[in-house]
Amino acid sequence: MLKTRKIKRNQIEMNMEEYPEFQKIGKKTPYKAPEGFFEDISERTLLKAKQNVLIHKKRLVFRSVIATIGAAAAVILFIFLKPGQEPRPVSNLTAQKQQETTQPTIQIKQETTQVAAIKEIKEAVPAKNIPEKSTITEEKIPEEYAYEDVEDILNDLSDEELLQLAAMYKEDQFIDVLSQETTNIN
Amino acid sequence: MDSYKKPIYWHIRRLVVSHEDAEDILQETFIQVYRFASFFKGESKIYTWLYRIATNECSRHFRKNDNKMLVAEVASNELSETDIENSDVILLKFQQAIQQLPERQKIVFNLRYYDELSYEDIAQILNSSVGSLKTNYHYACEKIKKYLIDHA
Repeated sequence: MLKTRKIKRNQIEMNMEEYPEFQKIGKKTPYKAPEGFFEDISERTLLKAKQNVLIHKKRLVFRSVIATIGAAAAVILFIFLKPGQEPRPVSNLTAQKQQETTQPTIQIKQETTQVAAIKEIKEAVPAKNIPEKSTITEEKIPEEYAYEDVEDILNDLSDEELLQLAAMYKEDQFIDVLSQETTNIN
Repeated sequence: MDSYKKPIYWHIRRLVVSHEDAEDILQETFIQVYRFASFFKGESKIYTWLYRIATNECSRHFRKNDNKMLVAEVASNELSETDIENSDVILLKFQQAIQQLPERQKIVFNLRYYDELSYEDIAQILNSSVGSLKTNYHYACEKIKKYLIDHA
């Protein structure tokens, strides 16, 4: 196997330079370079090198800016969403809005339950017995009792009744205590 | 740079065909040379190092673009500007035959046939063994020969 390989390689080396067809063609090419191309190629190369340096610097600045923005964003995210901590409400305003939206629904529910209870009572009790509005609030106090002063009451009392009141005032323990306290304060 | 710009340009031009691409690659090659000049150890010849950088840049260009169809376009445009002779047609066919080769064989053939570099130098440029280069060159010659006979 090795021998056949060696023979083949030797044959290739032997035939290497035996291509008379190529000798006729020569080493010319159909390609042409523009006139004066080789004269200023060095200057153009230096110019391109300078441009490349500028582009490289711009890229570096752009990358560093992006890196800092990314790092800042990561730090902010870490502060707000620490691992093992429940997520906070987004803001107080949103919480307030949530309360505003929930509270009216509760009130409406309470109102509906009250209405239902009143309806049940009305159904259970005959309609005649239930006054349309509460009597206490509608009852009018007579004008003579509306604004009664202490002096008027004393004038109405007889002499005997006044004497009894005076005796009660003297005998009553609570009134005495109160009078004593008032004197002490003064 | 001045002493090497012409042979390096023609080496690049024969590989990539287009003048614009060749100019870009030539400039990029010399920029790389300036950038990494301090890393050059001096163990190899300077022109093999230059050829190596230029060839690597061409390989990078091949990975990006497929320029097999370019030969006919570019060469015929340039030939149409002058009077086309029989010798020019043969040159055009020869270049088309070279462009049909695989990348490795094409590089080896150009370095050996046009630039007349020794196999030892080509081995340094392509980081390959002399034996495999000789094989590559032989296959390249055979393929070109066949192409010329088929398209005669």
